[in-house]
Amino acid sequence: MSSERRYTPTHEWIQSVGDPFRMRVGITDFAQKEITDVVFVELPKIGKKVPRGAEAAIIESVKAAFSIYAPMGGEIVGINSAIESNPALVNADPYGAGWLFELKVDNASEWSSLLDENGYRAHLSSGSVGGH
Amino acid sequence: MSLELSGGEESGSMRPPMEPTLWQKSRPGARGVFPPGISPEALDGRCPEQIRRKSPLALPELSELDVVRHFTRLSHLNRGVDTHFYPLGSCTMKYNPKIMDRISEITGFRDLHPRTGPEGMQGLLEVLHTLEESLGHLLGMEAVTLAPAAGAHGELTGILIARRYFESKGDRGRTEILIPDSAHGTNPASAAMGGFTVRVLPSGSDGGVDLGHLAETLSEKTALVMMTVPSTLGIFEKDLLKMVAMVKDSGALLYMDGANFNAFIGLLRPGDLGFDIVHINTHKTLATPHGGGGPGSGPVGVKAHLAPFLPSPRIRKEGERYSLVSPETSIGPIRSFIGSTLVLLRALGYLRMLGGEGVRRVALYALLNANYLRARLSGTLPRTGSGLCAHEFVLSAKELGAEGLHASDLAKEILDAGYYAPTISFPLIVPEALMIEPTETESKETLDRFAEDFRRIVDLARSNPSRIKEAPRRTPVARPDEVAAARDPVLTDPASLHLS
Amino acid sequence: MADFIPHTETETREMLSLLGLDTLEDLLSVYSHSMAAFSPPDLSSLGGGQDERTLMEWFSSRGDRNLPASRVVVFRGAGAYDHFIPAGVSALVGRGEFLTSYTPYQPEASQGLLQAIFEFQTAIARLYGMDLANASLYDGATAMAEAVLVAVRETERSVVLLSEGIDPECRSVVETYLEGMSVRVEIVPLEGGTTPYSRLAGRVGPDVACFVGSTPTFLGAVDQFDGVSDLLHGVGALFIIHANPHSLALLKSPGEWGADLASGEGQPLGLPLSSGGPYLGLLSSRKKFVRRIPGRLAGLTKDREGRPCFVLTLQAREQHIRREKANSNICSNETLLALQALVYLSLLGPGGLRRAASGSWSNAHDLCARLQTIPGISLINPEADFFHEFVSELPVDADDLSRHLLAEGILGGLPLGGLLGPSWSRRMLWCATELRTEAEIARTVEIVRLYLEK
Repeated sequence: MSSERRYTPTHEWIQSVGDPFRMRVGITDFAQKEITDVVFVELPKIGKKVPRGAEAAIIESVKAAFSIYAPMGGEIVGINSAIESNPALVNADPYGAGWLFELKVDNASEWSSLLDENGYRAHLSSGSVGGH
Repeated sequence: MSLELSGGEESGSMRPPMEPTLWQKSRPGARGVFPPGISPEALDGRCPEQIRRKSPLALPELSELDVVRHFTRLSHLNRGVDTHFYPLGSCTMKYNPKIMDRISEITGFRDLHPRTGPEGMQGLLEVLHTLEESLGHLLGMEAVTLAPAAGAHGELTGILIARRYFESKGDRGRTEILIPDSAHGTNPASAAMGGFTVRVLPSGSDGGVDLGHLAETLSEKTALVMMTVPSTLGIFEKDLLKMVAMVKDSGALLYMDGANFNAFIGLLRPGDLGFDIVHINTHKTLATPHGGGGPGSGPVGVKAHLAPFLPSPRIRKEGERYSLVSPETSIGPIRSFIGSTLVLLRALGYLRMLGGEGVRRVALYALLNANYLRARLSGTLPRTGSGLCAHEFVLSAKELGAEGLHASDLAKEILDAGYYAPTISFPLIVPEALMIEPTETESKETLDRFAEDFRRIVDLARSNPSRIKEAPRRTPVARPDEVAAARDPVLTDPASLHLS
Repeated sequence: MADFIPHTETETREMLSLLGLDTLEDLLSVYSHSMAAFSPPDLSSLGGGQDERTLMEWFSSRGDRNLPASRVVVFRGAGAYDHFIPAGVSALVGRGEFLTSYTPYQPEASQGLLQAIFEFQTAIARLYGMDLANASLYDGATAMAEAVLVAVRETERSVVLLSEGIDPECRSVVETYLEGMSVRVEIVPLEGGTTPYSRLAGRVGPDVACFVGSTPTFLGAVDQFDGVSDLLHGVGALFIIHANPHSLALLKSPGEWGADLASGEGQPLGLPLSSGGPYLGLLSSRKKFVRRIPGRLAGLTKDREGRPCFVLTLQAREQHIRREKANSNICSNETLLALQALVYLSLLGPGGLRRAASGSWSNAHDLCARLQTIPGISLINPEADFFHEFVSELPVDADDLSRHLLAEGILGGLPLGGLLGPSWSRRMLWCATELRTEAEIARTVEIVRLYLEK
């Protein structure tokens, strides 16, 4: 697991924040460009249980709303309240200050089925993007 | 001033001065209309302190002429059917006859208290009952409610009726509503409000519902299938009757979203086609004004087996006498009082003025105008669908993406050419959609002029896309910063917070 | 007769010829696969068309069979109020640029309406003492239902407490709206006409999404909500107040009572009685619910050239984007009536609105006092304050008295038996607005007195 970042075909990323069961989730640079200017992020409540693949957050642009799915199942243990007042962070720094929420994951084995850097790149270049 | 002379840095100078807000114009102590009443000071001692308002009322203080000029100026910053061609697809922006304004001002209706009781409302109830019957004939439905305040409200009504119907049969397993992906957003939103799960029917390559997919999705869990006829692509599904038969076989009910009824009013009846429930929008098909977003009205027609569930109150006719009743089986009221009656008077006025043959001509000319404009625009942008269209058609500006342009950019240039814009970004299944509905009340001359301007604009988009990006130049304001508006919403006037 | 189709015969032929068609009927090939299956509809019941004069006569003669406020003196409210409306209102609202426009999706060509909506939102938010208001909903009843749905979504709880003081028809509308949801509605009874704090305190808990109070209540009492806001917030529930906007010129606003959301029927703000519609749904809230509020919102921003301008905003909440996940299904609303209320409020100004509201208060109290001088008539809930409506207990059947008054050209108080059950059959809900004159009040009281003396 280490500090590697992994991806979903629906353009979320997930990465450990030290504790091997505590994972941070955000959207990829590709996704933030597709969404265009983020105007609002509806973040989950802390303590909420989200199964893998379930909608965990919603990102709004001016003319669209995008569901953000949990890359792994678990409990929401942290949210990035900075993006509530400054949603532009998601566009400016999607892998850093623009992260969305943190999960305490239930099942570490789900990690292995996520895309690694190369896998996600291949997914992007395959043209079958969409998903949001 | 011609387009060529304007633009660039100077473009701002063409715009009229902005109108300050009411609160910016407010002058402490200014007085407008003096209404009947008494001075609040005269109440002192009678109205107890603990229930009295302490916070400022914060309404603006203006003279009557200030107010008249303010709203007259605002009207000059706004476009309507009375001032501009309004080809806003799916909205049927036809002419709103002036005589209907008069009808809605008849004191016997305008000043009638809704709780007067049947003895003082016989004229109103007769008029509404007549409209119910006329709509029943046009829709091929045995019963009609005039209660819904708008199309989406009609959808919710129809969905709750379906819910009650299955409950009355003891069938509680029907929890799903099937809706094509080309449908108006109100359809799935209404289904969700009615407590149903939405299953989306993807469109086939021709933009119609895919029969195979419909067959797979239909099940004993399906309560309702909602279809827009003609579809939002302006296409009358060639397999409609097959679809109807499939849905009937599954035991589900069929709902028709009649937003596009202008395409076949007087030609075909939804009830004959096999639909169990249908709503229409009087502000579309029956020429009642859109009023900047409302009031509308969304009457719902149903077949006899669903009539017991219609919302209360119902109008009952016995001999020559009318009354209001609330049947036990009804879903209950869905709004206050009987309906948006002043809107409904206009709708009935329109039907009576046209008569049966006039209604039929409306549909034929809606078809003629749409197809004529479609033909005049061929070769500009590709259309979704082929052959004759119904009352509207959808073009895609996707290929202009190569120039960095979107349908919304073209819309702004269309505003500059002196029109309202077509509907853009809808239906969702067409990338960069421009949905055009001319309606039957526009003349050939208007359509010819629009076609020429549209062609010029598409040519300009290809030859000089940066010009289009600068549009509109001739409107009261340039493009608003919608991102800033949504990130940090300012929804009330800050100037109002300083008033006492 | 007319059909508003502008084509000359020559033009029609030219247009058909471009399409390669001979007659209009050839266009019907669009429907050929369905039309073949059915005979063409019989449209004879729609008649052969009418000209303007005949049409006006037909409607006018039906209008004459009604008893509108121009023919009867209105002492009835119960959700629809006969207030003074300045002439300027219809003159400005009827302008075609407003009347025949649609939802301002293209802001550059719709600044007038957008600014008016923004100003309406401002006026309603200030009147209700809230941070923001939306661009309107259908009517007061559906506005209350939508406010309840906001609370249900926000709290993810399933019990809704409604005050007994809510208009029973409004309550039914809320119940209809909640039909498909797994939500239970419970009624909090009134005592002496107002909400007893202890009753409410005994019921609230972690299952409660919200409590909805009404002021004035359906029976006219000014309800008081001391401590209610803290009580509800203490258990994580929301506080909603349904308030008559006209009364707020004098009475404590929902904001002052600590409400989270407020709903109301906007008809008293310059809308005629209109046989019951179209009316105007008002919804306002605290800032924290901005993304949960249903319906359209106009916002202030700047255009590319730095000019202040207005735009529909936060649209990602709405059905055309969010579809089944939208806050509500509402699309068309009551914009023109919102404009009407705004024009009314601007013409009256704060002074005019206070004057009209004070007149309503004063006339209703005058009527009440005079009625009570009649032997056998008493005021129910005499300890509760009221605004412009109150309930009298009569020594006779209220429906009979109502019919007698109507024959005398008076739309008297609403007989309550039909709405509230047989135990209310001798009770009548009276209303007097600022429009009632001393002479009308005196005459009405005299007719009641004589009727009871018979």
